[in-house]
Amino acid sequence: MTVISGTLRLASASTRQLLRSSEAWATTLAFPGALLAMLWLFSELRFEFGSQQVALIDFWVTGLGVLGVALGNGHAFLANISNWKAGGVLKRISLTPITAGQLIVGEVIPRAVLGMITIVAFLAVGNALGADIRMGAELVSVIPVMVIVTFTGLSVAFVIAGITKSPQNANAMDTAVSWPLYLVTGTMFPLAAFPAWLEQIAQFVPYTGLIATVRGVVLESRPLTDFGAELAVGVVWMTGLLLAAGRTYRFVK
Amino acid sequence: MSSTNEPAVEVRDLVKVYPRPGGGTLRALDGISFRVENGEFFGLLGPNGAGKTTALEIIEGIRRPTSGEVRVLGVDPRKDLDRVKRMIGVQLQAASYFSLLTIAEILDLFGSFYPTRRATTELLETVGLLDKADFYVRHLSGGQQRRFSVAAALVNDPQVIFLDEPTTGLDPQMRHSLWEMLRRLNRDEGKTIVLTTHYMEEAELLADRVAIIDLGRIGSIDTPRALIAGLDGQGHIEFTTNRAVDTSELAALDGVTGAATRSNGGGSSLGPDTYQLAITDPNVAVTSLLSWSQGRGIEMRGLEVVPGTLEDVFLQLTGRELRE
Repeated sequence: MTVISGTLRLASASTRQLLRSSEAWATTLAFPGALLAMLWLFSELRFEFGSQQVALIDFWVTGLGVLGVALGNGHAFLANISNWKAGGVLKRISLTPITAGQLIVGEVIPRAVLGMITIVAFLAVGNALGADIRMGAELVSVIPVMVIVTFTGLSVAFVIAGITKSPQNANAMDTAVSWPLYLVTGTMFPLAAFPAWLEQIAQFVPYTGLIATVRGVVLESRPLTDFGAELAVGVVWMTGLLLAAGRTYRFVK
Repeated sequence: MSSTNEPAVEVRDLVKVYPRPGGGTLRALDGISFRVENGEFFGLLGPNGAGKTTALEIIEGIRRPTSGEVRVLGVDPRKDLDRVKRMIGVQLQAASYFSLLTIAEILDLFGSFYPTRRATTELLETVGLLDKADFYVRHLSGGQQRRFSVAAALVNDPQVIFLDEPTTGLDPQMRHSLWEMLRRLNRDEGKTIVLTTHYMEEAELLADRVAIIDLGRIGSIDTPRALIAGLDGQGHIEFTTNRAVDTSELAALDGVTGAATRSNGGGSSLGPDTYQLAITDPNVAVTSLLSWSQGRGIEMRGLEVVPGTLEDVFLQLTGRELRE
């Protein structure tokens, strides 16, 4: 068995389980759908920054779309893999020639694809509900950004599952990590509204630059090349977290 | 694959020390050594917490020893774990599987991880689960789940199979059916099997040789027959009486080395107490017991001479009962 074929077999099995999982369908369809329905209620609201006027629905559909995919996917995944660890699935897999790295990649691939589908659907429905989302080539440009977003979110899940001793602890840590992100990544409010020092720090938080990139692409039709620094920060976080995931979600005690 | 000239398993001076929460250490394995030959059915018999699972997990390579040496078919798991994993099959004491894959899909997936594999239908047939191929693991009974775990341990057609308390919690019928399956694997397919258990009858019935383990140390290793034959005594006599008797009188009889009593509860039709006599010679002991009871007009019921068992061996080696 080659490393690639083993990983692909795991990815295929993971996809089959995702398609059979009611929780995965709820994460992918029901929760984003309910969120969009609520955002629609605020479709007339706008807020101003200096000379700029921003429609709330544009801002939230893009921000919550990106962070929602990262965290929603991560929550569901974390529940799964921390249960594997507690229930003995991980221990059983560790007795096969499969490595922790192969398991991580095999599980992440279908979740990443699911993340792409979710964000495209989320933006499309947001557009139908009145958000000023460009639905042309911009959506294709969003895909590489969302690859970074989903890999980052899933790596965080692996790290949390690796360092916590029970699914309950994992859930508590996940909540503690997730909530501040809604505030400091510019998901709900523009970074310009923050104090200057916090705005500077927020640039280096994992999802901040990626959310700004998606907004720039789908709301203003700007090219990805305008967001080199933001994407670089995102890639550094993703790489670091993937490496951390491989080190913390280990097989041998 | 490794040469079959190598023993299936070789363990030398294995030590595992765990830190205790709150300080101090726990010596789970205290320098155990043993060797399992190819084709052998080897049992590790000991109570819960004796160190059986720790020993097995170190041999399988998923736990690191504090010190000592392990070889599986001549390969050191610490140096070439991947190779060891390809040669062994493992049934864990408490393992779960993917909850949304059927048992056939799980076997297909696990089989795909190895260069050589057994067909899924053949495996399911071997463990009697072919008609459950499309079931999720959670929809199987406890006994069926254990059988499935054994099937999962066989996907790579391993040379050595490790089974960690495979029948714990099973009813007698399921236990016997699993024993029969394990016997077939060992006898008909020539698989080397290393099994941990705290059921002395399981070790006695299945294993060619048994290592008695307690508190991280191995007390003795031999065939069950040789271990029992090495007992100081020859088993024990059990009986009940129509009235209470003094155990010191019983202990003083010829051929008897000790006497103990166990209450049967007030409502028992057997009588109030069961007496147990440790004996050196059953003929002498029974003769003297019958003569004593007739002389005192005591009626004995359910008189039984119980041959020595591994339970007696464990008791003699550790001073404790296996189920304590």
